[in-house]
Amino acid sequence: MKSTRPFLLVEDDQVDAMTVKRALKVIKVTNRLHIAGDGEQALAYLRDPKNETPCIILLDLSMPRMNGIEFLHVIKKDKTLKRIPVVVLTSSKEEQDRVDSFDLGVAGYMLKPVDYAQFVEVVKTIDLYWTLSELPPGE
Amino acid sequence: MMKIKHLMLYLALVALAAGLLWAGLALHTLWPDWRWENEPVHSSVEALGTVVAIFMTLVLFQRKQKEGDEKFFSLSIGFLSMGLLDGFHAFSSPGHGFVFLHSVAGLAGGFCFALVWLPGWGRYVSGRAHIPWAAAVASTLCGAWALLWPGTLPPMVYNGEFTTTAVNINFFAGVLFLVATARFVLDFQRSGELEAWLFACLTLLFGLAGLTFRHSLVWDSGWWLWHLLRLTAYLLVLGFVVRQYLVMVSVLQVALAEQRRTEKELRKHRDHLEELVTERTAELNARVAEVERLNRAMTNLLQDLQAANRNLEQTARELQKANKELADFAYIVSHDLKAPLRAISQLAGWVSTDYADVLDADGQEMLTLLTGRTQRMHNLIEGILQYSRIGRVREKERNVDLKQLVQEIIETLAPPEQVQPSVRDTLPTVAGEPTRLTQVFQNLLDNALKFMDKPQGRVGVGCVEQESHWLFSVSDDGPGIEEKHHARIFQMFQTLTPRDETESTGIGLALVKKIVETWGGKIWVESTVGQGSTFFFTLPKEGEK
Repeated sequence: MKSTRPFLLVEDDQVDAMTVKRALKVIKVTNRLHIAGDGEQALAYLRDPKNETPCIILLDLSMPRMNGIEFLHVIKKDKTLKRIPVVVLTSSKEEQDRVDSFDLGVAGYMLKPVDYAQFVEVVKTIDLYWTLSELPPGE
Repeated sequence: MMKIKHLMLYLALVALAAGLLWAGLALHTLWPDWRWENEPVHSSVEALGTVVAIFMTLVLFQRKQKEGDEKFFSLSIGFLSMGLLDGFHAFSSPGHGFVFLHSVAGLAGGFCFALVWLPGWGRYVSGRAHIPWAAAVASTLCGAWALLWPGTLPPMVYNGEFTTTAVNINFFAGVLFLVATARFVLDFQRSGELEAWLFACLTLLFGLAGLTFRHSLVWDSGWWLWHLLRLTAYLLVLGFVVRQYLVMVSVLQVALAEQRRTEKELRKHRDHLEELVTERTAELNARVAEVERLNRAMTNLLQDLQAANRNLEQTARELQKANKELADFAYIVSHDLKAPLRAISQLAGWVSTDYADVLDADGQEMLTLLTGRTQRMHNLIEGILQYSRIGRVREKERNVDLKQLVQEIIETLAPPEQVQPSVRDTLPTVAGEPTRLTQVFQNLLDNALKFMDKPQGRVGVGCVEQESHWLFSVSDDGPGIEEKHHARIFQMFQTLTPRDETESTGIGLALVKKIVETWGGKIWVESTVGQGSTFFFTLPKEGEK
């Protein structure tokens, strides 16, 4: 990752969160990882001026209280927040979720594999991509 | 061009005139002193002439009414006056009155006859209808006067000879008659009608009589000759006119009869028509009633259809709702069931990695089995999800080249070299849902490869075209399937081998069966234990589904 800004992971499942953490460690990503348990917590974090704006949001779709799609609706309406690249990381293969996500302008849509090794590959690929690609200007 | 007939008639006219004059002259010369004084004969002749004249008047008046020919008006007045005056003359004894009446009769007649030159004169005279009456009255009065007071009359005869007055009157009358003759000759020339010729003769005779009056003496040969000729002329003309009249009447009668006949037929037709109309009206009414009945039936039908439609819509809505609920359910179930599986799998993996030094071989094996089971469960969930999608989730039908499809499937399955599936027959291009077709072929081929128990196995794909459908087959020379299991294998979760031996969900054939039945086909297996199995399934052709 080009930036040193933190990653924001929006995920309610503890084991899935552990997986991401572990995977990032394996590929030696040094950026700080902040985890929000659902959409509302994520929004609270993003809107808090004390917090550094993350350089990327990894978003799960199925969460309680405010799910991924609803969260996307909100941040994409926000002038400052909508620029942050969002990669959906979900177990949902539903066509509709894919359509909605891309309609809302996500930067990527990755399926969570059952296999851990594959999961690591997925995270590695995301990191590699955003190392090569330019990030939107931050604050 | 004049016809021969007309020429003859003209000649006859001239001959008549000349002949008569000659005859008169001859008589006068031969018997200058012949006298026959016979008052009764004279009176009869004159009376007959009067009767004829009156009759002519009536006939001509009728003709005028019927034909509207104005000249008949003058002629009828002429005949009327002449007739009446001659009538009085017939009953007077020789004397002034006698001659006076005859002369005045000729004058009146001549004057009226000459008026045929002015056929429209009647129109310019007011009280036209009264003219005949006036003429009749005047004639009667004159006649009566002459009879009663002959002495008041101007002298007509003197010493057996006619006076100049008498001669002049008669001469003038003659001239007038000849004037009329000219008119009738012209008419004859124009129309060629015999009637005109006859009138010309009549007026000629009267004219000549008037002109030659001076040469005759009362009761002499010439006198009698002219009387007779005049009478003959009267009769001839009358005869002809009456004949014409009768012809006209008979023509009218025929026309009348024709008209009556036509009227009768018309009436008959009208009645018939009325009958027809009544008939048709009744028919129409029946038809209308029929149409109305049908209309009502249609309206009822329409209402029923609408009600049925509403029901259908309602059912469709309910089905859609149920479908959606099922879809949601399937999604949620599969998702929520898969998530913990994933966690279990990953945690097991991490324990295996992080605590490798603490675990012994058994421990490691346990964790491996754990991971395996989660994978199995994942496959089962996926299978159920797929199974539930069939028939519910429809994709768009396309033309699928089965040859290409099967080729791709074989590549995906990546069978070992020894077992290369072969496509025996040419696979057609069919219309269908690509995913479903893939699932069918893939599952069958996968099974064939998975259960192959021989190192050099053969797997084949076949196709036979039949009238209404395609018959496909996937055959192998694997272990075969006992007949008693043929039905069971198509059931959900049924496996013939333990799951630990061959990792199989037991869903594949159930899935394939459901798909095949969705598109209206059939699936069955033929097998010999130890020699292999062939799975057959049908795909209905376009339009048959």
